[in-house]
Amino acid sequence: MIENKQSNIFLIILLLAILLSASLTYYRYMIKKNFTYFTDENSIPDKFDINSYK
Amino acid sequence: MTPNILTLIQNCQWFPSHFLIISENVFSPLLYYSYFAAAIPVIIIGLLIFLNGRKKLENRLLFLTTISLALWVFCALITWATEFPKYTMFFWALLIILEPLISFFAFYFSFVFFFKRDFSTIQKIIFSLPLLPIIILLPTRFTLLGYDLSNCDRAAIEGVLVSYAYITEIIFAVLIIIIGVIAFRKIKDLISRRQIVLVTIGILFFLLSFNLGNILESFTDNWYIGQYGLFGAPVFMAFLAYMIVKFKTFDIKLIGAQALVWALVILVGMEFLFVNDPINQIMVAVTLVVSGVLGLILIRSVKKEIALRESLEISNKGQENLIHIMNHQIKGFFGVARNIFAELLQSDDYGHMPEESKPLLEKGLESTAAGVNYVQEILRGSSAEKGLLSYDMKPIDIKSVVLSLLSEQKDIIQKKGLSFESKIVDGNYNTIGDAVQLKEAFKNLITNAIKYNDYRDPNCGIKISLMIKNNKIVFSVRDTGVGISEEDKQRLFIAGGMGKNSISLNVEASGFGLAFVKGVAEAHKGIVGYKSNEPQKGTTFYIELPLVKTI
Repeated sequence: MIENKQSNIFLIILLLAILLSASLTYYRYMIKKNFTYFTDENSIPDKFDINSYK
Repeated sequence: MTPNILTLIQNCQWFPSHFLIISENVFSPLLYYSYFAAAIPVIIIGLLIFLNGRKKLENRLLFLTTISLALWVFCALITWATEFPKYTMFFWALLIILEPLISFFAFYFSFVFFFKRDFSTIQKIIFSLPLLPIIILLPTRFTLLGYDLSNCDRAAIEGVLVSYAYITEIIFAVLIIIIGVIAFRKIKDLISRRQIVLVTIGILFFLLSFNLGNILESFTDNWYIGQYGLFGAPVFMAFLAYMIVKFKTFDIKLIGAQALVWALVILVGMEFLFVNDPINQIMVAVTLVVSGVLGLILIRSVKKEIALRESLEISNKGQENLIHIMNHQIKGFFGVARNIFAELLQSDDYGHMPEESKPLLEKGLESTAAGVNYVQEILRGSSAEKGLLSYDMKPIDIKSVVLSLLSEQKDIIQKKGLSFESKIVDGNYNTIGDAVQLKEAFKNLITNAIKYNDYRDPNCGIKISLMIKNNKIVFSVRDTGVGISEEDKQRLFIAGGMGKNSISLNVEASGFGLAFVKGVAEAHKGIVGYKSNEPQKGTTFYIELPLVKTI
């Protein structure tokens, strides 16, 4: 039997981290509704431009 | 939300969604078919594998891969169906973490499946590190810059982290190729190698079609492309189902009939997702019920056949083992008795035997020697038929083997009152083989010709020939016996096969002689056969061997 304890711990930590991140995402978008609407095509930022993230 | 935003949203006139995933916002009901056709087989196979071995790491990892994919499908359907921007944003963000997660679990599963061991702690950290930026930055603008309300497509605007996620997926796909090649070269077992190839191809096909579809979607803003990439998933599941049926991978006993019926029922059932006409729906329902019922009947009868075959195999195996054990024991007893008779006859160590006892002792020696030979024949025939006989293959001259045999057998044949003829055509009879076993096989044919000859015929005899014909060495023994009955023909070369006629002509027949001859001939890439001598009497048995150039 392949060593289970370590892999269990690792998978639990990974899944908990993802769950935490998803919870924060949920809070931001679903509860706080904290995101920008882009109503004009020309105002849509370039994802590779660092200024888009300031 | 500002009044301007609200106005724009109202102008789009999106339909409301039900149960998050059902709405008329979806451009075509066929989309549901493609998504469910991908997700349902994946979930079923993943569950089947998980439930059959929860404690096995590879089973759990495959299950996590399939669950991640199922979650991805669910989130993707919501983004298609929903009319609420906040839902689009949240579930779109989840898609961004789920895609590399699927690749990661697929890679982890592949490693454990190929090498039958877990990652070390360091490897776990190194290989999961690429996921860390995505996990940390998921709630930020690096993932999603905002919501695109410049049109009514209900799309999120992806940030740079999405491109990073795609690079991660490509890296995991490359790593799968690398470990697949390493495992294939390292592991020598044929069945494991086949499974490695199947898993590697299946997983790569799935990941490449799935990831490529998503990458093209992101760069072209054509959100319809991605659904085609999902068809890699059922292909991967088909590979797994094949391995489960053929190799009993994951220790699951699934028969081909079950997998086929399940696949049929799912594919037919999912037509309900896009068939709207009531008459069509009734036809689909009828097809579903009929396929399900017939499928169940088919599975039951196939399972019964398999159970019967397996119990026969077990019983045969048990019988074979018993034959071998008994024969070895019996051979031992006969061997001791033979040696005792030989000692009493030939040695004076136990005192001088009276003359009147010698015929009896000779009879005892002859009988026990015959017993040893009989048991030996059974053991040899059984081993040869199963390919368990060992051969000492080296360059030999068949002509010298046959000449040596003829010099031993000529007197025996003539003492029986049979005429004896031999013909050895000139030629080069060099080949690669085991001289001892071939001599025994040739001797077996001669012994049979002696046993099954018709001694009522004054012209009874044996003709032995050796020639080269069509680049093959042909050794044949022709008798003047009564021929072979149709019943005997069925069992001629089968170990233990004896018909009524062969027993009536020779009560000492073991039924293993010709099985031994066949095994030896085939081990030398040759054949054994027979033909009737009609219109004359008797049968000719022959062994054909390939001519092999020897140095």
